[in-house]
Amino acid sequence: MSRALGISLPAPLRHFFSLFPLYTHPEIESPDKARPLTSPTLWIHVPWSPDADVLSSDVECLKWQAYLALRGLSDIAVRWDIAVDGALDARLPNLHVLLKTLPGASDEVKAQDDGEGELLPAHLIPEWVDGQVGALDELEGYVDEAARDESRAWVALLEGNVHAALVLNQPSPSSLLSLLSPYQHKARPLEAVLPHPPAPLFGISSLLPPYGTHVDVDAIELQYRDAIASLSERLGTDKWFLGSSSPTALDALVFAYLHCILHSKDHTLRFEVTRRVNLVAWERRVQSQVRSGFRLVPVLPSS
Amino acid sequence: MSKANLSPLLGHRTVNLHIWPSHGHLLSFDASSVAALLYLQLTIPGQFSISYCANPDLSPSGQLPFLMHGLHHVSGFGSIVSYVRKLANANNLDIGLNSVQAAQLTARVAHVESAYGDLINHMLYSLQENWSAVTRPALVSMLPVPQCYYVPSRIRSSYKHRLEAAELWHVPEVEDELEEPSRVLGRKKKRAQPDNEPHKFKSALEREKVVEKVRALFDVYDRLLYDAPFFTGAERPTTLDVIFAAHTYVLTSIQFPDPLVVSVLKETYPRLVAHCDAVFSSALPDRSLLPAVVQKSWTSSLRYMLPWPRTPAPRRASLSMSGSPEANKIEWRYKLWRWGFFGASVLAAAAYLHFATIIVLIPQGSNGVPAGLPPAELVGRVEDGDDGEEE
Repeated sequence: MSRALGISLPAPLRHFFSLFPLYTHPEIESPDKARPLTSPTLWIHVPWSPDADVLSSDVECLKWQAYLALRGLSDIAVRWDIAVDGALDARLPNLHVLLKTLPGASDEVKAQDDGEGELLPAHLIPEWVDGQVGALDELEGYVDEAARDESRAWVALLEGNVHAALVLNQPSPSSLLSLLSPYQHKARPLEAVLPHPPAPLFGISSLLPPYGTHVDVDAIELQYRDAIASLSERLGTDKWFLGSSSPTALDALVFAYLHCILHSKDHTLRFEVTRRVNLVAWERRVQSQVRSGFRLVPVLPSS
Repeated sequence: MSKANLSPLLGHRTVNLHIWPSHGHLLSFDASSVAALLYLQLTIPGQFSISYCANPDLSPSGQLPFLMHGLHHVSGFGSIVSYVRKLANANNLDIGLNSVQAAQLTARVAHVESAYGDLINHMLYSLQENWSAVTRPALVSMLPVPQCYYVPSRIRSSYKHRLEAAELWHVPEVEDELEEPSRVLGRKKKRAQPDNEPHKFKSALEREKVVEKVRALFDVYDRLLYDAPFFTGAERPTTLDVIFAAHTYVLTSIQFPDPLVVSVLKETYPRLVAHCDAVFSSALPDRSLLPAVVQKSWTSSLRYMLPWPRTPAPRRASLSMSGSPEANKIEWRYKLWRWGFFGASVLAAAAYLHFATIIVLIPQGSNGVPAGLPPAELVGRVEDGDDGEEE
């Protein structure tokens, strides 16, 4: 090509460049090798008891786990050894799928699958699930249009009032090591969850730049109690929320929040839910169904 | 006139509602403030008073609207509703609903507050034209001199987290200004066509997304309203009607230079606009029915510039769980340990002082110091001796 262009490196330079590289280091053997993907794997936060459980301790991850299980998928592997910074957008959960299961992939792409797979962020999971088990109709599994509209309101209630109470009662890192560690799990800040922005710590008109939040704890706890009371009232003795005949996305969300509340360290949060027998019984029943859809990825010994 | 209407049942304590001041002919600049005002007007008409307050720092929780009743204070629409509901002579707006409908109402109120509130905040604080032409001048007119320079931009940035999470924050980090065509020797220099296409495409896409969100929300409530004057077919407005109408009122009453959401509302959902009018005519047929406004003046706006940490409210003060025996036992143990620690430290200090003087006194005594010396001088010499020994 250089001949065709009429330009070529002068001989002394070519001789000089051929001296490099001076020394090539030998290949470093790393114990971390990516294993070829055999089944869809969900990357989540670590569960409360890693030996005994596959359900994550984070509400977002648990919500998607419940969604996958309740849509009817099974035999999905789970792993929690990935740090948060390694996920797409630094937000877990992510779903690692085989190329041949991607709904939008062309046939050539599916043919050259070498086990690497494709990593999907959380908002693309419903599309993938539709490709696996068939798309939902317009009613999204609810009884009628009114129930679907009502489900939007329940989603807003859970992601607002209940989530705010959970965030407020998150256990703060206790040991010095966890404070210094760079891999911290930053949950969604409280300002993004509350509908009205909380006041800064020193007041909005002070000379200091706005820092911190002055949270109205009483208001949040009052709204949380109202939310749980109305949730229990609406469930009544139904099998699935809003009287649906099969589980819906709202059921996955409610299950995720109830499970996290029941495992939180705060007495007041837990007590509100344990007082309501129908919620506890419902959560227990759904728990076994959700757990059956997942299995742990066995950790291979490093060679 | 407002005092004459106050019911004797409330006694000397009156319910005082503090809201954002009015702007133009709007009742108040903030949707939750309007909603709280309407709610009070429907439940305890004539038994409350209004104060216009543009300083959120006056509120115990830092947020407006807030309500003071004697020594009680509550802030935020949800808490105000729960508090007023429990007052003795308040009308119950949701009396016609059974328990399932009341549960649905709670969820729907939360949905309206979060989704509709986000859209209104987007209109007021995120769209640049609205911010510079409507919101910022309004806030500046409400605030006194030092605060009007820096508080509006702080208020705007406080909405950033929430709107970013909802993908409704379209404020560019650096504001690009159109370049003036440069003049060279009196003639306008031709400049290359600015590359505006990607910007225009991106902002058009963003506006489309906002319109989709607006339609999704309004479709839900349009279907819920159907043909009835109020939601859930009730005869009188319920809490859901109050909060929805308050948001619609704020949207339709302000003249926005960039009417993104308002145009969708007025063109496609006339029933929702009619619903807002119906709620207002039911609650406030006549503006003069509102109690007279107590205008609070900023006595010393400089005082609020001093940073003073807000004392966080005691976490378990108002909870009924504080009576549980387990919690009491734990608290008692902690109290025991705490006072034990203080007592032991005081005892140890006293014992040290006592024994240190005695221990060093004894060798001094054997050196032949006369026993008749007053103890103060003895102690003084002992102290010097002590220092010498330590060195």
